[in-house]
Amino acid sequence: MLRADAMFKRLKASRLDNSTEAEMRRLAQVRLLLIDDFALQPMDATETADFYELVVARHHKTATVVTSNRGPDEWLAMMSDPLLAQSAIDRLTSTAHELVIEGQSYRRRQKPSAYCLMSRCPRGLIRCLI
Amino acid sequence: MVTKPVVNDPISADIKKVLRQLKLSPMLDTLPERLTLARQQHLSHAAFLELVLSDEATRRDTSSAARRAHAAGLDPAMRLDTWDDTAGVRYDRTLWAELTSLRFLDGPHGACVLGRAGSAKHIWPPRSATSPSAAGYPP
Repeated sequence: MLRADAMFKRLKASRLDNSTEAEMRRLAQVRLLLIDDFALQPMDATETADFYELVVARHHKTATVVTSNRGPDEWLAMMSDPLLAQSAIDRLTSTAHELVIEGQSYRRRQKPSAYCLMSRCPRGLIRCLI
Repeated sequence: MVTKPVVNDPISADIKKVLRQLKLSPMLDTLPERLTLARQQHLSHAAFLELVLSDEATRRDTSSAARRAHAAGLDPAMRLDTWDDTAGVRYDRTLWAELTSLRFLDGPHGACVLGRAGSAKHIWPPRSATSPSAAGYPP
């Protein structure tokens, strides 16, 4: 699993040592690629082009799962080249299931409970928080 | 002068050496208990062999899945069995079942998991990828 920003950063860095092709090939061959937090922030021309290349290389060959705060209809506005963006989004979504998760934050579930915090606080300082 | 009682190690040095040679030394952790169990339950040689080899197979599966999950950058805590079903999130459960079965990999199809921040969408793929049915897939 790769965070989208980290993946694009890695691809950009690979241009410094001419390893972009190898890096792209490696990403293209992964049987299940999970891209987390896609289109969280605007993507520049290089990132858009890299995303297009990746989607084309993986299309109909390997599975890609994308998680995002935005729907595919909003992704276009986050990318730089509308033509490449549209083509990539079309390919990606044409073979993808769409699972929408709604409701309250799951992260709150993972927050330690008051009891748990108190039992771990050596000086009872946690009382001021609850 | 008090002499220490001699405790016979049920696992001889020769067995240890052979297990190491065959890269089966993790079996040594459970072999003494398995030997005791075999004696207590009067297991046949074949049944005993099956028991210790099954232990080893399970151990390898577990460590292989953990190793691959780590290499794939997955959070080991985010597994199917750690999901809180009482969480107040709504989703298509039929589709969720389909995705966690990983059948979509054979398409190959993909998935877009969408939701606002904190809605656990990042949990889903790792949970899918570390489920037992993912064992055969490279990260």
